[in-house]
Amino acid sequence: MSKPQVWTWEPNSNSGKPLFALCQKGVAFDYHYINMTDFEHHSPEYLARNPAGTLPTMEHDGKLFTESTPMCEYIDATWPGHGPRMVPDDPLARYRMRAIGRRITSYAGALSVIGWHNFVGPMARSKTPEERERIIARIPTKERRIAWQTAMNATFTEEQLAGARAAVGKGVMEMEALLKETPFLAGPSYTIADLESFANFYSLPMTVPEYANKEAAPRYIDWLIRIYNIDGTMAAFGLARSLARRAFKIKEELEAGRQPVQVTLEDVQRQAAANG
Amino acid sequence: MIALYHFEPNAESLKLLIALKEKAVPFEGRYVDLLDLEHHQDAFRDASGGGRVPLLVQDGEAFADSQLTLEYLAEAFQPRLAPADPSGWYDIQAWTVQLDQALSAAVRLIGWHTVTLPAMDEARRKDFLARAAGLAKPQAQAGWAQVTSDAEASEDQLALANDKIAAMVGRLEAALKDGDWLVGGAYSVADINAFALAHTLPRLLPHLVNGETTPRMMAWLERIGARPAVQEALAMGKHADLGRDVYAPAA
Repeated sequence: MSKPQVWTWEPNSNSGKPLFALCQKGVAFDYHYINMTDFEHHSPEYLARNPAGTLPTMEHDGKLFTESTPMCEYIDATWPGHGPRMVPDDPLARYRMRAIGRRITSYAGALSVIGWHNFVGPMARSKTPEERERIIARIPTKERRIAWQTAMNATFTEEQLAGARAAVGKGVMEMEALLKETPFLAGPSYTIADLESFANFYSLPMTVPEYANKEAAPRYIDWLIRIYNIDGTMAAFGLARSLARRAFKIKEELEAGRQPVQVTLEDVQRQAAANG
Repeated sequence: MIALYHFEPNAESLKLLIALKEKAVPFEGRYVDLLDLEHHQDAFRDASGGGRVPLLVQDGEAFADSQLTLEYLAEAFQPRLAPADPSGWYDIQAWTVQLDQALSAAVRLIGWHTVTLPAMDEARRKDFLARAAGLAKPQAQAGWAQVTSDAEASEDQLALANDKIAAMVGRLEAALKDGDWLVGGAYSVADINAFALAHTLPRLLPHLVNGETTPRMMAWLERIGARPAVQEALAMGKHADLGRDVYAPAA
């Protein structure tokens, strides 16, 4: 069997899913860093493998994979002997895993509003108008061109940001309620529902501390610490070059019982310059 | 014991009806009339945990996510109608995600505007919209308000929906170049899924799906439509007065 090739950005949200799955299972792979804030996922080289221009893309045994959650099921089934199984055998347990994963990650849209406001928007706006025009022009679909154009130029109102924070807070409370029943989101053991939720929400104590703290959501905080300590999780974060480097700080602070302080745009840019 | 709460045999309701019929799984069909807003009545909302249609209930377990319920039916009942190897199963799941993103909302929007709304007479439409505006849940009210306000509006939205559908039609036509079925050379839940979302397109958007521009897709729709299980599922509708295809917005 060939070594999987992964083209993706940081171990963060959808980009991170195959990185966590492969690292946690201990499957060797080649990582090709795609700088999303430079819009490398819309370059001709990237689009040749993934015409929709979405992140991530994986290649294995000559086949291309572009859907991030099904990709994780594929990884688990293809290397069953590596590390823990992340997909249960029973069809009902599989349904629950998928439904919970989809439901919890539906809050990622609200989180991305905050991420845009804090990091991606300012980074994109630091480019010249000509560069921005060029970036927009090569986005493959009209729908995504409109979305990126709006996002690049938009600044969010206080009301929109508060709404996004409240929606993410609701997601935290849903995770907390699930974790009251079982140690992981979809049952007694770690599954892809946990993996995809963690990939999206590993940073909430830093991003929305008013909701993601040990008084309001103690089980969620414990769950984060448990996943930070699964073999392979920190190896995946070790691949980060900018934004997701914050994971090291978050882990350290949570383990010391403290609330991590939000990293600034300057911190992220300094990391990017140092690791670029 | 399985019960399926469903609306007209179209889109999400249709895919589960076809899968149950193809697998000859005994079930009790319970028709929920979205155009009477039955899914917002307390009794159904309480039973369903939120009012989503279709809803499959098996031995007290509620399956509210119809995309994933189709995958469940594939894995839980024989014949599987899906490859079991990791690569083939990935293809099934990738089609699920991509069909949903490209077609679900877009077909519903265009269908609602070009079929369901025009088929209602003025009095019926007024009555329907008034009752939608009086729903108890603010979230449901907001959903319907969105629909009613874009009843007049948004050529842009319709054009964008048309473009999204056109792109997926192109992909389906290309995928059928190498064989009769979408995944693994055999009829599968990916075909069922795509058929449920696309079977009305030759009537809804004839400029996109027709014998000349998409001959393979037309033949594939006919192939699936001729299956006895599919015909049984398609016969489970009640809104004959609105024509063969009825679309209701998700709310």
